[in-house]
Amino acid sequence: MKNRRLLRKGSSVMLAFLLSLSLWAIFIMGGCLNGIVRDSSLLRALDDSNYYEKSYEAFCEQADVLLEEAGLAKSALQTALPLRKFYIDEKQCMQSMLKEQDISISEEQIKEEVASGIFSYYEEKGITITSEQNVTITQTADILANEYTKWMKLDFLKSISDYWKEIKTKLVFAMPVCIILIGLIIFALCNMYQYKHKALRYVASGILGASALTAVSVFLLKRVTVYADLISEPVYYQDFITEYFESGIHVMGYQIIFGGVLFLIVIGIIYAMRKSVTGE
Amino acid sequence: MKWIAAYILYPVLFTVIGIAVISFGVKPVLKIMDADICMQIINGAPEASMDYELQQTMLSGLVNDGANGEGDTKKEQETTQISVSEPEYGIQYGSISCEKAELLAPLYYGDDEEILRLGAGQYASSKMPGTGGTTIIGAHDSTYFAGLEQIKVNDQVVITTNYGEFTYEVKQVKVAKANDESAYQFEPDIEQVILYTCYPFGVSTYDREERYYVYCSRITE
Repeated sequence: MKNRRLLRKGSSVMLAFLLSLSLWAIFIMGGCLNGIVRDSSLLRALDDSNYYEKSYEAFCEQADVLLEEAGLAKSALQTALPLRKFYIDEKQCMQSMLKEQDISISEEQIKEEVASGIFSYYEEKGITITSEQNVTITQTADILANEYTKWMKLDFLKSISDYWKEIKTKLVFAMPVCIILIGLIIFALCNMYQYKHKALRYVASGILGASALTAVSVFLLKRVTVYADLISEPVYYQDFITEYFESGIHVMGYQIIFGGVLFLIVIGIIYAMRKSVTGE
Repeated sequence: MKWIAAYILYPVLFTVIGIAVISFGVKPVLKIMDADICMQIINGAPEASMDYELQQTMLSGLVNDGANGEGDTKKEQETTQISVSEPEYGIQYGSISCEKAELLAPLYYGDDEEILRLGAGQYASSKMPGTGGTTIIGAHDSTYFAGLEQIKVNDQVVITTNYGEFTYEVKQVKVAKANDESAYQFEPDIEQVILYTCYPFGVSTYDREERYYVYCSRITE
């Protein structure tokens, strides 16, 4: 009789541990599917890290050098290609890249806008443009348009999105398997006890264990995953990488709250069942 | 007592054992994912480039014409050899590429785990490229040296450094045990590069016993 009880207890603890691992896997996979793996997380990180504004500043710095070399006024560019246009174009390009649509920026159109912007700038200042300067402006506009379209792309976005797509297909398959496993474990535990609330105590232990494991995983991911240090330049890219991975890890951390809620629900059920058994 | 066991003791026990199980089971997969993500972050940067730490490797000493003084007219001996001082450990001093195998990797001095996470690493006791002798370079098969699986004899491998560009031709490809020292014998008279990575490619087991070696000899500039 005592041996049978010990065997039952040992089996229950092992099943609760398996439940803990399965729930941990679900929490991590759920955190990934709701966070880091989504394209919207990439776009949100670009916004939150002010990537568009900072990359515009960097583009303007590079363009200033080109304009200076061509003997043209630096402030002419900001009339032709203001921040607002750059922001909208870059955002549209990033979204199109993720949706695998064609990027709709026309280099010819940009060239015309830059050239006409520079011409307007000199017209406002009352400066007459010579034929030589005309040629220089056209050539500079060509170079700037080419540079502009390059700045609209971020290779990391496409490559990480494709990488996560492969991971997603595996996660989508693994999650139902874990859910079925959890169902079987709970069913086995309940069958081992006459009073089901005793079995549910082990389920509650498993949920607490899974939440603790998730908390440790999130803590270790934050400490160990220092991707921003891989790249020192440009700084705005470094900020974007930091923002993207930190927010992804935070979403995983929210699963701990979900585990806590689940634990409270199970405790409530245990309390209600115990009350109905003891008649208190 | 029952609730202490159920809500404190068992969860702590599950957490401790769970960490051990996950570390053993999941760590190799996480390492590969980590290396993949690192490569994408580095290659996906805006204006991604292979910039060098110019001050780290100084071109010094005399340039010799590489001839061995015995009238040797072999093509491989008509290359220029130079003397350079070794860069600081962990510094990126160049890049390695092979167009046909779609291989492109930053090249670091040293080959520890942290370096292999970032690119290809040169075994620090081997010669610097372009200075004569054998250079041994390794990288992970799932990231920067994935292209080695497609590399063939006669393909060209280019090592670009901040002191020059050196072209090599693949002469041989073979698989050998990781502890087989004959696979990476240093040949003092031949300037060659030995590229190596884990084998079989793309298998995420904890420890692979075999390595994939690619032997490349320097060719005329």
